[in-house]
Amino acid sequence: MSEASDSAIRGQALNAMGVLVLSRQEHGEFVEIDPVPAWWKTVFGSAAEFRGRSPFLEDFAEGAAAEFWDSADEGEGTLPSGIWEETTGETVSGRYFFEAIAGRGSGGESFLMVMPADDRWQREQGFTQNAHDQSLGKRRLVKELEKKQILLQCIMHDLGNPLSTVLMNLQHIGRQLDDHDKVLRPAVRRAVVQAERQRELIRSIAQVFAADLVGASHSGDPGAEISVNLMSVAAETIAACAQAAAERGVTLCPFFSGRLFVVGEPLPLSRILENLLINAIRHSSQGGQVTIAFEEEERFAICRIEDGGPGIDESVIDRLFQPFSQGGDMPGQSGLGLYFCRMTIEMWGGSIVGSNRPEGGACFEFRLPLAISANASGKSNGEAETSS
Amino acid sequence: MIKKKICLIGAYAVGKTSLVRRFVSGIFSDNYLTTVGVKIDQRTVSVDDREVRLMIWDLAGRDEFQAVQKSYLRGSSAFLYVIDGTRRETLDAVREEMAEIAAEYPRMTSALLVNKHDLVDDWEITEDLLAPFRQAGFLVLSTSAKTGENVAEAFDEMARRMLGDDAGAQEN
Repeated sequence: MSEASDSAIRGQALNAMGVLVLSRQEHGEFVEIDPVPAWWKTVFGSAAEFRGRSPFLEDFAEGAAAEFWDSADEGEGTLPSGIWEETTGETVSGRYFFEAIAGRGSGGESFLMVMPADDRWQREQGFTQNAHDQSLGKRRLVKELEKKQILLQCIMHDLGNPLSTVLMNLQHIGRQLDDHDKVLRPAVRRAVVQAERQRELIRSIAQVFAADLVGASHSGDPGAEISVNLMSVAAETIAACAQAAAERGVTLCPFFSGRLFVVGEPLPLSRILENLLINAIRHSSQGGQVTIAFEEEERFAICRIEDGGPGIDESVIDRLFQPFSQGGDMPGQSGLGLYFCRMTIEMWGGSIVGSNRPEGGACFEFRLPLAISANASGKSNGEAETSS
Repeated sequence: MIKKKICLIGAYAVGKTSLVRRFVSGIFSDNYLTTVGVKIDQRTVSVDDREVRLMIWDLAGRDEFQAVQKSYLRGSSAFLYVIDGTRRETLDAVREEMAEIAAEYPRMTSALLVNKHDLVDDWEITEDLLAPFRQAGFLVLSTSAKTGENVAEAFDEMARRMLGDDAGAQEN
């Protein structure tokens, strides 16, 4: 193939790509190599004019590129400029993006390629904008949650402290009253019960919303894996609920399996189990049974708590895990227990459902992801662990 | 006419582009459009009856994907470091940037602009965090591209200082 035909092919290729090539001459001036794209004249004028029109291209051609061309390091190579923006003023109004590449040929020839970069800019801008928006959004969310945490703590403090004082004084009055006082003593006892119920409600609200806030701020961040032995926590919680079951004449029937590490933390997990067990005990009749069963299914551990009570009212079954939802006639309950269970379990990547058993009674079943690393490492002490 | 190159440096979304738009065109938009690459704007200012054309280089903000391309800083007469008063981490980012740039340009006329002063109630940047910069001789200004507060003043003062540097250099 002849040199002329090589040159023609190169010209056609550059034309197809919309690339302008400037050849750098001995004294630093540039000469356009044919073909010259139409945008070059519109935006930059000519090889003689581009310095006056584009401060960036002038800076690149006389700065970094000139240093590259004149460097002692002989041989082929290129130096990219990065993307820059040009705006045209009087004749054609618009934004244009370009990039330039300074090149050095094998024979020592210096050239400058200039090409439109609108597509590349659009891709990079879209990607970067998305990343920045996400990062700023996450930051805003975390700040908002921090403010809510502080607000929550203030509210809890302002509600809880006066109540503690009221309770302390009621207990003091109760101790001072004669055992035979038939009027004041029952009244004080009722007041103490109400105050303690109020304190429990505040505690529930604090726990639920703290878990909610922490859960939201942790979402999307895989972070460190926290794990806990479900069997060990369940055994402790069942033992703690045994007295309440005995008082109602209900038998707790756990079916423990071997060690089972799940994603979670001991205290909230214990609170979840306690909520579900106390619910089941409360709805069981004298002489009834509450069974607690565990199993492993694929990557999840399942805990199922079943009672023989009247079951869940079908009218509330869909919103059972919503805040302030109550499953039946349960005076004095906050309606936050099951909401807390759902929030916490979902925060750990699990799920919880409530249903009625065909044979009667309710069944609450939660699933938690197995803590792979803890199960594999053969932890046997039932302690929570944190691994990164 | 004297021409001077000023580079705006800082983390993403601190308001570099907004400061330039406010100074050059007198406009502001709340929409955040992240800068990719470089955009150069120009404005002529008067310093003691001398006209100075400021060539303002708005560089893409540093983030986890990209650092400032150091070749863009060549030939500069001043650096304007910009931080977002509502984001403490932008100060940490600019400190890193300054340390790297100072190694190559140790005596450059520089200023630190703490932007978004219109959101001063949400500021995480306190005076004690800025004190070291003042002590190091930086011009430190609270700015707001939204209201225009201190924007023209910052560029004018930089122009004055750049000319002062030139005069100092000539005397030497």
